[in-house]
Amino acid sequence: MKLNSYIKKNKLSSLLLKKNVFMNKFTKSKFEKKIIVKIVGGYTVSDLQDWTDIFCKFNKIECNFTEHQWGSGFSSLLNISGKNNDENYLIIINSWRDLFAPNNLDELITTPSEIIKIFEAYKKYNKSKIIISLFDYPDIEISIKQKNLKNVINHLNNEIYKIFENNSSFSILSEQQNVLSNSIEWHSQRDWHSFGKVLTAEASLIVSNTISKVIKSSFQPSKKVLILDLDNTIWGGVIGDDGLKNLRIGDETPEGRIFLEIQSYFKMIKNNGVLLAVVSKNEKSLALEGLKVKKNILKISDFVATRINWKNKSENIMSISKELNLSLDSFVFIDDNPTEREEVTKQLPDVSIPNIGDNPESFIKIINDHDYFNIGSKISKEDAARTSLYQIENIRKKLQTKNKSHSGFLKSLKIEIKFIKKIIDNIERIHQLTNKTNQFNLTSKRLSISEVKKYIKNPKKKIITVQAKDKFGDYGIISVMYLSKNAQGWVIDNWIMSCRVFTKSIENAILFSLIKFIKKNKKSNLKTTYIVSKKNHLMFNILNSLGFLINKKYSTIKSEWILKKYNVKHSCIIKNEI
Amino acid sequence: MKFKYLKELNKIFVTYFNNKKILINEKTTAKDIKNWDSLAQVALIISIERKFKLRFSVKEVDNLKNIGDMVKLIMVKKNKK
Repeated sequence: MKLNSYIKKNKLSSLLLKKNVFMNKFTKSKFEKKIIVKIVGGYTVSDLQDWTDIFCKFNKIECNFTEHQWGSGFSSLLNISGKNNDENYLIIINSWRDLFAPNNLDELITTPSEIIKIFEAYKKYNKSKIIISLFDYPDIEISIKQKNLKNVINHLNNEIYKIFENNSSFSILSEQQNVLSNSIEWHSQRDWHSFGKVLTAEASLIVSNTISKVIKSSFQPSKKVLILDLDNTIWGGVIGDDGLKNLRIGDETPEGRIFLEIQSYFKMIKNNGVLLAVVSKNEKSLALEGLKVKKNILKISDFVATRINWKNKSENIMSISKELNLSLDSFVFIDDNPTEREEVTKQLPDVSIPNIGDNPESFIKIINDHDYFNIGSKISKEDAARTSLYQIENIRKKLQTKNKSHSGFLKSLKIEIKFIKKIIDNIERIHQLTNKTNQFNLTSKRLSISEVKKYIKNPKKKIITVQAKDKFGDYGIISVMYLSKNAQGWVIDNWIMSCRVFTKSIENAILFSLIKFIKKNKKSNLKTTYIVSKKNHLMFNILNSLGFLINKKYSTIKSEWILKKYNVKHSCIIKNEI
Repeated sequence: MKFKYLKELNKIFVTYFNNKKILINEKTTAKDIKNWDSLAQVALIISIERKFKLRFSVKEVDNLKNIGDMVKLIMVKKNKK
């Protein structure tokens, strides 16, 4: 039996026995990622470690665990100095027992405010990614100084959540509740006193599985486009057969209420920065009328693209991908019809297509369980406004087809670029752009927030951040360049630009300003590294057209380029200097 | 009965240690089997509990000296049910 089926079928105890079988299974496997992990907490974390290892290996991620300190989660944080830890991931497991001195249920080991201080202090010094679990509840009623322990725990968890809002936190509590409803034991007095285990073996399994999912999702860029079918996907019924009046949407009927909730769920996803589009086999005029029905939560203006026709859905999705300039692997396609799902799967294997079945009651849960969209993580201003940014882009493109000469068109856009000076204020957007952009990206090197901060502080390095707007609206921050200084001149360590502003000569304008800056600093040389990835092939032509030539070849994918031509042309208005 | 339990226990050991050659008897102790450390001990006890659908107490776990003790304990517990 496969690893995941044990969990799905709830055969946890048979899985427990097979730990060594699974550990040996992966000895010859090749892994795509290697990470260093430390698990802190719960006194004996060896179980969590072993199972996290197995689940991660199953996801092609190899974990190296650094030795854990003994002691409860938060108190052992005091022993880990933040300065010399080189883990990629620190996993902190909290449990109610950590709040008490060993074998004494009548007294808390320290006050909640002291515990919060420990977490706050740790957050400051820590460099690794933190995955933290909230405190779970005891299986017995405990009251300390007339205060129910559950209230104390809720208070602590709220505070932890605030401190680690930007990190991955997950809730043992919700895992615990899921498990309780499956009638699996979470805590056991015997396991605690005999084996020093806060969690039962089954609970450790569940928690490890959750940890591995959080780790996995940290490597998966979240999806950017959600393609929706109409009939029986966002409303009940087939508009062409049942007619406009007989569609099930709205709060009069149970089925109508389900589809209302489904629509509101998609709207919520949209408001988290995901683009929505419609691909439906229908008569266009009829389907648009359906979308105009007032009871709908989703309005036509919520979609950045619609393809309502009788063509193959794969063809329509392909054309949306071209229109938005987003690659197919950032697409999710939702359709209740298995034939349509099959057609798109065969033609466009990069598109994610959940099997939502044909029962609308389970659509939301099934989509949710795929973790496509990073719901719950903090979103930027750019994320929230993404749909309107893309809609404006469409108007721009229409204008472009009217204007024959490209440079004439660009001038008519009145593109303005501005170099942001207060870089630290925009660090979150810089970090996001660096880690999310695949196409205009010279090295695909990902950086953590603290690595970006290091860059800002280093006097031999420089970050250039560019904001752009045109007569239709503001793009926000769209480009980041990482530079290093050496004896001969400057080296571009990485250069990233959002695909929304391609082919607008913005890269030319940035280079134009950079050349000015370099000359002012009396250093003439400008080099750059280019590492070819699956998605950044276009950089080859861009470097060429900007006047760079290959200087050195390190390997088939890595090369060094040097700027040879200094007369770069652009059609932008440059508001300030670097 | 004793023999039946011993056979079932052996299955658990074979699966856990991922070693088909393991053959336990009543006198077998942790010293006789490679990799039978304290962690394995915990995993084995938990697996045995799940398999036979019973629960050992802290004291019972403490008093286990060899496989014979384990078999006796399972028999006592099963008879009580």
